[in-house]
Formats: sequence, structure tokens, C-alpha cells
Amino acid sequence: MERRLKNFRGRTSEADVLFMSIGEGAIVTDAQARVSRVNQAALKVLGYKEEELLGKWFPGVVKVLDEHGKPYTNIDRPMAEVFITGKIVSKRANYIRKNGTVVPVFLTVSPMLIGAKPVGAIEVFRDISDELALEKAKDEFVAIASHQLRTPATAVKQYVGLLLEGYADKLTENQRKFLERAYESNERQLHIVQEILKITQLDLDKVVLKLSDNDLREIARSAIDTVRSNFQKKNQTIELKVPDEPVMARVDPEQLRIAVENLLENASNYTWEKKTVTVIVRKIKNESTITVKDEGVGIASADIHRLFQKFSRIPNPLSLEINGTGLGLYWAARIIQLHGGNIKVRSTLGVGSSFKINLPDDL
Amino acid sequence: MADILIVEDEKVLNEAYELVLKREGYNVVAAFNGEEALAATAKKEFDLILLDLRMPKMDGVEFLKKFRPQKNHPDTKVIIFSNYDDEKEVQEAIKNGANRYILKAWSSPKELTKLVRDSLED
Repeated sequence: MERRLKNFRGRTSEADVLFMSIGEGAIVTDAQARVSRVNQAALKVLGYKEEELLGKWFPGVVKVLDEHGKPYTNIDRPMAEVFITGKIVSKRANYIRKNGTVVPVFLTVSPMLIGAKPVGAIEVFRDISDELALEKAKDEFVAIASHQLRTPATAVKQYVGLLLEGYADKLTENQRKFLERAYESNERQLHIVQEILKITQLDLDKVVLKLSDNDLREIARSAIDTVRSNFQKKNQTIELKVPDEPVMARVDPEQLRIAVENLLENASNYTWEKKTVTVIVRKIKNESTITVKDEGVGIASADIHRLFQKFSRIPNPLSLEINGTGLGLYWAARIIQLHGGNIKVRSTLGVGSSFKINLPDDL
Repeated sequence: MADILIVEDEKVLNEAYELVLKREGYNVVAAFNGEEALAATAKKEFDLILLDLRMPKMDGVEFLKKFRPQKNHPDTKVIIFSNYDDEKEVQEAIKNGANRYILKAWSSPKELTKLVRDSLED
């Protein structure tokens, strides 16, 4: 093997055979992103012939879309990111084949460095159509199961409701107390089912944004009004900082408001009593932002990537007191993503966190 | 008192709604799918129909497609009372002549009576 690798630069047939035989697509470029090598698996997935790629500027020939089908510019596509940052990039994306069809892939692009200087990049990718089909089947299963669960839970609500509202005989104090507990648990169950269904609708691409021009200051105010009682219960203060002039953005006002509410509820839940949560609405260059900043327990930097995963609950000193499905942040992040924006998190353990919704103007 | 048609395939729910609305003094007829609902509307004029969406034999939207074009029930209000809140399904029901949509999982007996009262007054 060592001998073979030594021959790599000499492009011996052995090294070529090795490269060409890798089961996943592999493309090597020079520092100007011109293709210097491409293997059989890559050609098969992309539908090009070797001579159509070799020596060509890779972004000029093969177009790439992000995970959700939005086109990358030549500057923000994964390979460019690698050249700019010098770091390995792994992500889901979609390639456009020669025949114009789209193929979902998982790709990893690594810089080839001599010292600190990038001399090229190697990209390895595989077709993930089957994985996505499996994910879709799973989402559909969850949606069907949740709907099935909702019907009997709705019946429990009706019948416990009938008892509590006096449709049967008069209740003793204990009967009422126990039924009220059953009713509350049933409400929670229905709420969880609702949250799961909201997520599956997003995951199955069934959510269509109703975009209109809105003043983000108003959306922030309305979200604050909805969750105010949570804050009052814990003697917490909400401060709103907004500019004097409107902060206009093209958004789905209902969905954005719920996303902000989710951030606010989290801020309240993970912050001690009598502390302050600050909401800041700003316009910076081509971006509008809503930031929710708390004085809470904070998140360890190692846990931050888990925040936006489905069902993730991160252990913290207050977690025993909090009811949650672990779906709120995932939902919020996906909704903001649909708007073409993102949520950025900054946090210091024991000091507090800030969640910043960034919405680009060019929607 | 107003005449109300309940269209709901889930027997326990159908019975609960009937109990609540009868107690309020309404004249209530129960149907368990779209076909039975169509047969009921052929015999009687209803002020309000509480309509589930997913049902065997004939679903809610199919019922609306057959019921609404009959021009002899111009004043009948139809409330979709379903646990399916898929955007497309709701839009389809509204397009075919439903007046409003309510997720039944959120409606306790008290909320159901309020919903019916408000809808009849609209």
C-alpha cells in the first residue's frame, strides 16, 4: 500500500484504479475549483462523462442546491465555503444532474492543504434518495399515528368534560379534583399530539408560508402579549427594545409570531424568577432581526448543536420544573429557515442565552 | 329551536355531541358518514351541520361536493369539525362550501355549545 500511495503523484494506474473504484462519488479540484479527478460513482450519480468535467470549473458545470432546494450562489456553495474557511464541510444538498433532474446527496468537502495553503479540495458524496424516502415514510407514519391517537383523546376530553360540566350527577369535591387532573393530563396529551403534527407537517413540506409585509415591532409586541402571563407567574420582566421607525420584513406574521413565542417561553422557562428577558428588534443592513435574550441557566457550548434537534431536552438545573416536548425550537428554526433566514444562538453557562432570528430582506 | 345534523363516524363522539346539543334544546339528527348525511338532508332542512372530514363510505369533502350544489339549502351552515388540520384539506373543505373549520380536539362540551350558538347567530 505504501508503495502505491508513493506513486499517487505520478498518477500510476494503481492509484487511479483505487480512486476510480471508491463506492461513493469523489471529485478532486485544484485551488481554483477546476476538476482534476472524478471517479466512476460521481459520474454515475451526476450523469456526466469524465471529459465533460475534467479541467472544468466545477461550479460552472455542476449546479448545487441546498438541502431544501434553494440554489446556492457560487460563493456560498459548500466547496467555496471550504476554500474560504479551510475547514471540512459536511451537509445535505441537492445536485442537478446533466439531464436536469435533481439528486439529493450527503457530501463532505475537505481542503487539501500544504501547510496552511489550500491547494485544492476533495469532495465525497453519496445519493441519499433512499434515506430521504425512508424519512418521509417515517414522518407519514408519525402523522397517521398521531391522528389516530387524537380521536380517542378527544373522546376522553368530551366525556370528562361532560362529568365536570354537570351532565351526569353532582360531583363530590374529590371526584371533581380527580377529574380535573384527568382533564389537565388529557389537555397535555392533546397538546403534545398537536406539536408532533405541526412538526410532521413541516417535515412533509405541507406548510406554505402566507407572506406579507409586516412591521416586526408589532409581531414582537403581539408575541409578548400572548406569553405575558408565563412571565408574571415567575415575577419576570420583559423588556422590549425597538427603533422608532418600522422594521418592515416580508414574513408570515402568524408563524413568525409563534416562533418568537416559542423563544420567549423557553427564555422564561430556563430563567430564574424575578429576572429579565429582553426582546430586541433591529434592522441591520439587509437584514431584520429579532433577538430574545435571557438571564437564564445558559447552555454549554457542547450542547448548542443539539438545541435544534427534534425532541432534544438538554439537562439543566431547572429542567425538573419544565414541561416541554423538545419540539419548539426545532419547529421555530425550520419556520425561520422557510423564510430564508436562520436562528443564531449565543450562550454562557450560568449567565444566559440569546437567540437571534435573522431574516434577510431579499425574500 | 334550531335543527342540527351531526356527521361523525366515531360513535362515542357522535353520542357525546348529541347529548350536549339536545340538552341545549336543539333538534338533533345523527349521521355516521357522508351518505347518511345526504339522506338526512334530503328529508329535512337543517340550520347547521357539524361535519367530520375523514369518514368511511363518503367523506366530508365528498359530502359537500354533493350537498352544496343542491340549491335548496341556501341557509344551512356547515362547520367542519375534524381532527385533521392539514392546510390543503381545510382549504378544500372551505372551497367546497364549508363556512368554518374547528379542530374538534380543542372543543370541550362548553366550547361546543358556544361554537354552535355563535354559528347560528352569525
